Amino acid sequence: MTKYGSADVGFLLLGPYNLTSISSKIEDNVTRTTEDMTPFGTSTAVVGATPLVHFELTGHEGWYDDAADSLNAAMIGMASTATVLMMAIAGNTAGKKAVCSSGAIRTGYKRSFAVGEYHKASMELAMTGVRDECTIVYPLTLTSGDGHTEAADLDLGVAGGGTTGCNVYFSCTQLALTGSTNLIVTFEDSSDAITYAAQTAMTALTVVGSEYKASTDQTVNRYVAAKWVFTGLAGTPTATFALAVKVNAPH
Amino acid sequence: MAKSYRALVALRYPDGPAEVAKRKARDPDVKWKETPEGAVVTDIPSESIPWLLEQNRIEEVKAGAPSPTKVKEADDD
Repeated sequence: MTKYGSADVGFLLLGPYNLTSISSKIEDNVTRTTEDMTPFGTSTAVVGATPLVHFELTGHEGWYDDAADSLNAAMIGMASTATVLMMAIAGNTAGKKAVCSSGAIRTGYKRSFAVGEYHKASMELAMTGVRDECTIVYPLTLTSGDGHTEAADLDLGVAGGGTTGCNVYFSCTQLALTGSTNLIVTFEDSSDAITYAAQTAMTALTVVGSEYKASTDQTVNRYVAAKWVFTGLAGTPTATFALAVKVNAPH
Repeated sequence: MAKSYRALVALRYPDGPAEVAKRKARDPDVKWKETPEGAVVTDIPSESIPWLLEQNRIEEVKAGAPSPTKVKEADDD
């Protein structure tokens, strides 16, 4: 068994905002709701587990940072829509686990100021919907021009594929098109690691963004990769993005 | 004569048998070929065709058969 520490947290992304370098703590909670079902006629408590599972991200601590892609910008507007959240807990490396959700709702933002200290800032997030234990397909990396990872694809293993689709999470934290039309990132898979087929194409980006796409009836093969194309390639475009996948019901 | 297949999704594969051999040997210097969705090709690596057909990523194009696009246009008229 491998133990991990704070240095192994590869990234913490809220939508297109990279909060990694200004965060020092966050708690990822999974709670099954229970109900006291103790009836008459017994002196022993009976607790029933309901089907409801709560996901929460609490206890965030960090520093105030006014960069355009950082915490203050992410939180000050307090957008009410659910946002993609991606957190690499065991390293920013393909094949490592990432906690991902499409349902992070920004509910609280607190800044504190004290003499002799750096300004602190912390956020509160409520989570709606699913939270997945994903596998990083493409780590958060600065890329230049078109590219793909087939030459160094990721093997999910014999039991890693599935026949009931997958959940794909994507966040692009930096994008410079330099005259190109847009950026399209595609999640690909292969049964033989020779031919790769597009599995899920993310929406074309003209500015930074994030996205979650789910499928339920597609076969996802064991070899997976990412491909990125700058449509109408011009200049030397760059992007920094991460892609992670949770395959449903492995074989 | 090699069979023709229509890519139902975008594909990427080694460009020719020599490149397929390099890929099998995990040579990092493989020349890849991009095939966009809808393209009809004859050079998909033979070992990949069965799974691509089974998973509806490609379809065989019979000689002389109208493309699905043309059939649809005829229906619309």
